[in-house]
Amino acid sequence: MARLLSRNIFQSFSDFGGCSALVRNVAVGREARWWSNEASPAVKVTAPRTSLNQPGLQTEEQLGLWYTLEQDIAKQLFGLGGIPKQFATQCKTFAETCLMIRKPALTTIDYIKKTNLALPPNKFILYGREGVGKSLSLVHITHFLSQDNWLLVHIPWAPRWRRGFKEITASATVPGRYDHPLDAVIWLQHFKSQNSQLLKTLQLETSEEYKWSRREVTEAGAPLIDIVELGISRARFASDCIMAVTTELKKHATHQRCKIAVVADGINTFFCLTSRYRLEDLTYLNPENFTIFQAFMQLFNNNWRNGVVVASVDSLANDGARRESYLPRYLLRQKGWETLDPFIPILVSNYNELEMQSIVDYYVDRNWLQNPGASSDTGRRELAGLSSCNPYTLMNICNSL
Amino acid sequence: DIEDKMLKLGGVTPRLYSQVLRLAASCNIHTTLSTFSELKAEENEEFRTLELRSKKFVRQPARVMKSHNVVPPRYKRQKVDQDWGNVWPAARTFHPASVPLPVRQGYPASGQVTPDKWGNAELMKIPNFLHLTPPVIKRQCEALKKFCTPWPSGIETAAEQEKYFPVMVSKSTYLHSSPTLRDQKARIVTLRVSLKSLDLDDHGRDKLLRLVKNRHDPTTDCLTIVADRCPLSQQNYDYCFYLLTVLYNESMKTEPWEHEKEVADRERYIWEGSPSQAALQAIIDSNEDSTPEEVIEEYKKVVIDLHNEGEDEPTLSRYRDSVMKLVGLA
Repeated sequence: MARLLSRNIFQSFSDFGGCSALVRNVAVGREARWWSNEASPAVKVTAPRTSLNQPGLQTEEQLGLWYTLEQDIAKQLFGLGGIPKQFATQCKTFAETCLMIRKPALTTIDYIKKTNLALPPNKFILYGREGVGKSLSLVHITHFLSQDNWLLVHIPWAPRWRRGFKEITASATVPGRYDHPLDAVIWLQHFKSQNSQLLKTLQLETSEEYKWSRREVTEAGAPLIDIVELGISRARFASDCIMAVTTELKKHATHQRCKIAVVADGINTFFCLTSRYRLEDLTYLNPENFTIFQAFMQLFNNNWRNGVVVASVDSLANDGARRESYLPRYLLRQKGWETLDPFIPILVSNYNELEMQSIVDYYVDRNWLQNPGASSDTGRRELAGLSSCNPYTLMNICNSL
Repeated sequence: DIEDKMLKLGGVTPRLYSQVLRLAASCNIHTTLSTFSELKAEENEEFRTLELRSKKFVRQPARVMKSHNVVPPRYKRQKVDQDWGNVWPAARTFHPASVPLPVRQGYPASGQVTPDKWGNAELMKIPNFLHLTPPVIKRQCEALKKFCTPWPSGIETAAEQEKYFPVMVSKSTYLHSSPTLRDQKARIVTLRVSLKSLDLDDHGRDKLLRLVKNRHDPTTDCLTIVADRCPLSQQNYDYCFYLLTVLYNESMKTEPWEHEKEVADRERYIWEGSPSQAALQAIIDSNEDSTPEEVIEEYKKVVIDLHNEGEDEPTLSRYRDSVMKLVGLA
């Protein structure tokens, strides 16, 4: 039996592409004796899950465990963006959206619970190297915020509006500003899908009249949802609608009618100096001239109350020349610092031992790692070594196994 | 057969027969005899073998090279406790036979080890200091001692030396034993002074550092001026001191356009008037309970450190703790 198992493991080691020193070190001696201990049938590895699917109830005891994000909530909150594409494909493969409970997200949620809403909004900035789990931590935090009845102003991946915009037109209302018609419509749909329930219960109204064109006017005192729906139906006014919505929300929050959470992935892109849009004089436009950028940047100020800003700074959100470091002050530049200071930087780091165990167990449980050597001690060590415990690298490695 | 007939007929003796054959051979007449070899054996004389086909290559014995009597290398005859200063009294190109060390030098060819010292051009090219071993140096110092004067009193410690002689000027002199004695490098003069001894205020120091750029070493806080533009070292020496004087005087002056210095030109972060100060004020104002003084001071210090000392994990974590205290989360 031991010989059979050892032969299997021999094969599995060669399956690892001959990249491990273990293949060479497979000498009979110690290793064979160790394998013979595993002669008993392998224990089925299951993912360490928790049934506490509400982030507000999760504590430090659930660190490293996996909780399920229900399909309909995932669709409602992140249907139009928020979950990174590769992770979303993986979730589709696994037929479930599960998130690992990790320290940075729990810490931020804890701080949000203890926030003094009478002060200017607390700004929590998640920072860390590439692929370390900032976006998914933001997903976790967003889930909590929506469960805790915060009105969400969620920017899924801000650089898309600076670099990968669908269309840019010159603004009709403010000369020198530029609109994103299609992207603004998508965002308004996203906003509506996330907050429709809450908007109904809160019954927020506009404080002033908005004249979109000669015939289209939104009266003062009309429900806020009207502006959102107008923006969705009329792409031409969508960017200005976003501006109106954000201004109104700021006023409402300051007057304590609602609490607003601004969640932005890649917030440092707001302070970059160039975008991909070329003007007639062949210079690249400074993104501060985008209407929607202006709309959201007014929410990063200190002059409103009853809010919280949770963001991530990512070196990939910057232009290529400014990606040397992953630290927030460097990535935010002078302008970002001046806008966001004082903020609370929260470090997101690679997986620790507990989390490595957990992720490998999860992959084995989902039959993603089908190699019997994967869940063995040496296999885990090999995975940890190959990926240096970086979540993104690990995901890519496991994709090919 | 033929020979029997010949013998019977003409009374041809074997001797005559062989003569005939020889004749035939010399006249290139084709002859074949089956009993050729028998005859050969019978003759047992200087009977030349007839080679019709080309000779098989007969290997000659290889040429034996004469081995010369080589004298063993010198180091084998050196005693272990010899006086090395006598073996290598002056600077000399590396000589493998005299050096008893198994040194190796050079990049190895693939699959080979580092080349050894025999015929090693790399070892011969580079300067070696085999003439300056510690015992030799000690001996030379002892010999030089009688020409030295005692160290002046009052400047034993480095601090006193720095105090009384803050400026250090250095130059090198060279002597060649070639058609010309001179070396152009002897004109280079280096002046070194610590900025502490220059008595500059903040503005003066900032201005000096901007003028001097990379001639200042931040770790040792020393300014180094190198002059080599004049042909004589005396001229370069004067030029160095001229530069120092000019730098000092210019730094002490304030030009009328210096007030145009902007935030982006500043060499370090200044708290007063910064947006961080305004943001802090906004938080203090909106706080119902008064923010303790030490929290404000700590925040101020931490922000200044974050900028002036550079951003890394320790400064960032101090910043985080300070902000949390400020905002009431700690």
